[in-house]
Amino acid sequence: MSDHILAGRPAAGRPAAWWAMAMLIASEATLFGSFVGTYYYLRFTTRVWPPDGLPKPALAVPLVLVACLTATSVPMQLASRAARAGRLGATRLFLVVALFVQSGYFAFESNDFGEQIKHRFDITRNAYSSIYYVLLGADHAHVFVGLLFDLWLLWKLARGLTRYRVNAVQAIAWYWQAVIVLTLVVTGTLLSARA
Amino acid sequence: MTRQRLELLQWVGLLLGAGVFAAQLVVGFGITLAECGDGGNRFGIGNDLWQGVLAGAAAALVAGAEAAAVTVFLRTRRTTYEAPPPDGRIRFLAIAAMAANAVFLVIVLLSGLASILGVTCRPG
Repeated sequence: MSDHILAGRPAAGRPAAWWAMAMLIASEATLFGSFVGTYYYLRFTTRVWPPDGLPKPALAVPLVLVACLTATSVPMQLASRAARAGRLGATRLFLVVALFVQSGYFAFESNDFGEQIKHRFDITRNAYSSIYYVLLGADHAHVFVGLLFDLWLLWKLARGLTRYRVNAVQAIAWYWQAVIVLTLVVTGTLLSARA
Repeated sequence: MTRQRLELLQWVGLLLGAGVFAAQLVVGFGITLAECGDGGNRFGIGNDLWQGVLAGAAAALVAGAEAAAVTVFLRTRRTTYEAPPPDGRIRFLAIAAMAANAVFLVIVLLSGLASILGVTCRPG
């Protein structure tokens, strides 16, 4: 029955870490797809958007921030390549560079999130305010999880490179690429209220 | 069982539940729209009946996906998910599918129940 499956054969195909990350990204895409769908459903069933005279979202700061986060795609991919090439020092360096920028992004965005709730409009005011903060908050939460992944990776890499850790670097680099795409989608969706 | 069949079962177990959940969501929304929309009034569409049939069919398909995942899990019990691919991948995705299909089954049933027990048409 399953005996032939266990026979020693050379590895062919992607490691389990790749499949795990692919499933995670698919789940996240579904989640954000639902949020974005909800946003546009509300928008197209509301005459004035944003409703109740709420202010339109700011343009310049979100665009600059999202550009900074998008730029970290490069060091993350370079870290992944360096890990596959067995270059431990370069892997760590690229990860630290990415972590530095991503932490700055998260610090600014989380502070801005709190300020908006306090001074612009409350989350419970109407459907627009709810979906606005849900989209933004979910995106920030994903960035925060990515930061935890980075820290965990650096802690693991302090003890050298193994096959497992190389797979982890690769999987977490993909996670960041997905988070960057999600951030672009969320930012574009929220800024569409200005149109 | 051949490897091809085992791989096929593994993909069925992994993807069928998710696909059925998505289909139930879209078709269920369509049924509600058909009943509550202007066009639906003439056809006398019974929301409870159709939502019940939809939820039942969806639950049966998700249960099938779960059965496929359990079958693959049992037939690969002599390897581990840490084994090199494709063996490790087949077992790993079968384990993931077992967990995911259990969640999908609950979602499909709760979604069907909510569609039947909730107020279908609200003035918009």
